[in-house]
Amino acid sequence: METNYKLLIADDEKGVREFLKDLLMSSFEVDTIDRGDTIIERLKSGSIDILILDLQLPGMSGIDVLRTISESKIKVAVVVITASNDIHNAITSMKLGAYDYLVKPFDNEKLQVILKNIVEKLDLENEVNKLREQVGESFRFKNIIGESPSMLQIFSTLEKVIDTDSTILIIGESGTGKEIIAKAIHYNSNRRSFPFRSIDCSTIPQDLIGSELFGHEKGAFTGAITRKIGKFEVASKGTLFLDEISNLSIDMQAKLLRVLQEKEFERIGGNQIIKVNTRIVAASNRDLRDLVKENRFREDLYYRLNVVPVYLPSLKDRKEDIPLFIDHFLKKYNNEYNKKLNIDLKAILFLTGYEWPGNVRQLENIIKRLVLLSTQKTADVEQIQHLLEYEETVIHQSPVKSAPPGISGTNENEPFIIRSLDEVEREYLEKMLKHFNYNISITARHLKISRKTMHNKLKKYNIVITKSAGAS
Amino acid sequence: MSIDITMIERLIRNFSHEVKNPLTSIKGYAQLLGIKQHDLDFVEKTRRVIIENVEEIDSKINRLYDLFNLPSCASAEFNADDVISSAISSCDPVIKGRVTYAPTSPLSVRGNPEFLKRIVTIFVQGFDWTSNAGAVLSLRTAPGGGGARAAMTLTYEGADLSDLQENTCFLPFSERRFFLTGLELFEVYFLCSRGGWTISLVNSGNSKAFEIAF
Repeated sequence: METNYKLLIADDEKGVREFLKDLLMSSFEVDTIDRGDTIIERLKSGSIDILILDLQLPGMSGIDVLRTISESKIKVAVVVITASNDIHNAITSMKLGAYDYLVKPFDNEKLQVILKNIVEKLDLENEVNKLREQVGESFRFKNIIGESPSMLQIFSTLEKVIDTDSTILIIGESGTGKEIIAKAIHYNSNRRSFPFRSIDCSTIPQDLIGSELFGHEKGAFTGAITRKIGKFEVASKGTLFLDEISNLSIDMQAKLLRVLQEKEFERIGGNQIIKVNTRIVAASNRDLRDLVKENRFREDLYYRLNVVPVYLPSLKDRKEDIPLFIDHFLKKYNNEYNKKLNIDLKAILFLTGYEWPGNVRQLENIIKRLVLLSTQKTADVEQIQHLLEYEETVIHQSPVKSAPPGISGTNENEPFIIRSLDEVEREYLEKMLKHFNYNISITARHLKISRKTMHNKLKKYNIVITKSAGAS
Repeated sequence: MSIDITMIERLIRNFSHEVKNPLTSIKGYAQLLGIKQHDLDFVEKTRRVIIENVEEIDSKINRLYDLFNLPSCASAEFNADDVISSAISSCDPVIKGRVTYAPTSPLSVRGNPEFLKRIVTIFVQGFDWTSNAGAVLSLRTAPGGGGARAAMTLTYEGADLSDLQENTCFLPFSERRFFLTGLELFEVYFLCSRGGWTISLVNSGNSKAFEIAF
């Protein structure tokens, strides 16, 4: 096992230091130290990943070193080695955060197994940190689409308040990117190493939202078979995004206000006071002032939330950003579906001039559908108009009477014929396969079934895909 | 006959710690030899390590045995001030700069002067001055009289010296925090016992005083 990790051996016995160095130098970058009182300084100055620590050291005992590491929150995996069989020492070491404990003289293999496990753990942690960094990077302000004056102003405001823990209230129509802004706030702040959690207050039943927010104790109510940690607690030191906050009941608003003021709460059914340091970012597609006037939102909570208000413009009010969005979504979905679709200039101008009642979400949806369904290399205005007209039709009509363009099967002029489910499913499968050029993977993905299920259905209905991209 | 089990347990713990460290090296290298047997340099190193560590264990045992082989002493009156001054002056020049001894009146004691010299040398040379930076050692003597025994007090102070336990600190290998090998206080206790003297410990804040009554 060869690694790039740095390992420090702390033992006052020269023979033990030398032996461990000989044992481990082929796997780690090894350094040694013979005193307890210089270990902490050494850990702080160099990036030591693993510490092999004897408990009896001059200057400072191993237990005191462990305690200092724990109190100073120094990130290092500690393996304790000791000549003493004392179980009390073992328990104390583990309680102080030691990864494992070995009694001298130990088998080399036991130590190597412990170190192998530590390396695996460190590799996983590094991977998580890297992924977290990548996710965070995508939410950096410079990576968020927005060059219109209104968006630049928003970024400028947010940069000033991002590390101040103040509550932020985002007001914007549906589909304007409120959650993206919330994530941007989190991942650009000094809280980015801690969790980001979100709750959509419009989708969770009101009788369950308390449990989502604050958690519950086992037995707090019927169905509470275990303790649940609420999102406030999970996101402590991080950020909690409360989307559609206007949907909270008045009771829940009162509880939320208390937490914002006192920074503490109790789980449902619990007695223990839990202190949290959670930054709140709230969002609403309605102006909360109107709801306050209608007595549907508490005024005191409104003022507590509205410390830094952010008004996200609708897409039609930031037309300069539309071509950037088009470019971004085109790249994204061309990559995802392995296509090379372009959009001609006239079409881009058309898209830029459109009203976009569904905002960015609607634009993304249109681009995605365009990439998916288009059989040409370049999409033109006509195709886009067709898609948009269909959408407008669907919004105003019953969905069962309308079919997406290019996909027939539910024509209201056809006489009503009773058919078996299998017949309906077979016909639908054949049509979807045809639309996705008989690509089984893409068809399965859009039907939201696995490839295996897809193959089973093809077998069931005796549908054979030939190499010439036809079905029989 | 009564045996203090707690004392014996402590003794065994102390001694096992002293022995387990060299055993760790021996066992470790022996296991590595199975993998590196074709590396002649490593084989030679392993040979050397095993011998060195065996000798280390042996020397610890011998040092304990040697104490019990000390010749019986002839008790005689001698000038303790001369012996103490001589012991201090023969110590390392850097270390003896940390020691103060200013005899106020002549001190005559009965016992073995070599024992007294060895005791003072242990307290001066055997202390871990490196680990306890800032520590100083002061020696005072009291001639006795009026029912009180003549006495010498050796006081360490000036550093963060945590408390010693009087009932255990004189056991072999008990005190490695302040002394180099852990056998120093045991040897002092042994010499005092053989010499007909008594030794006691006084913890007073950060100072640690050892009083030897002659």
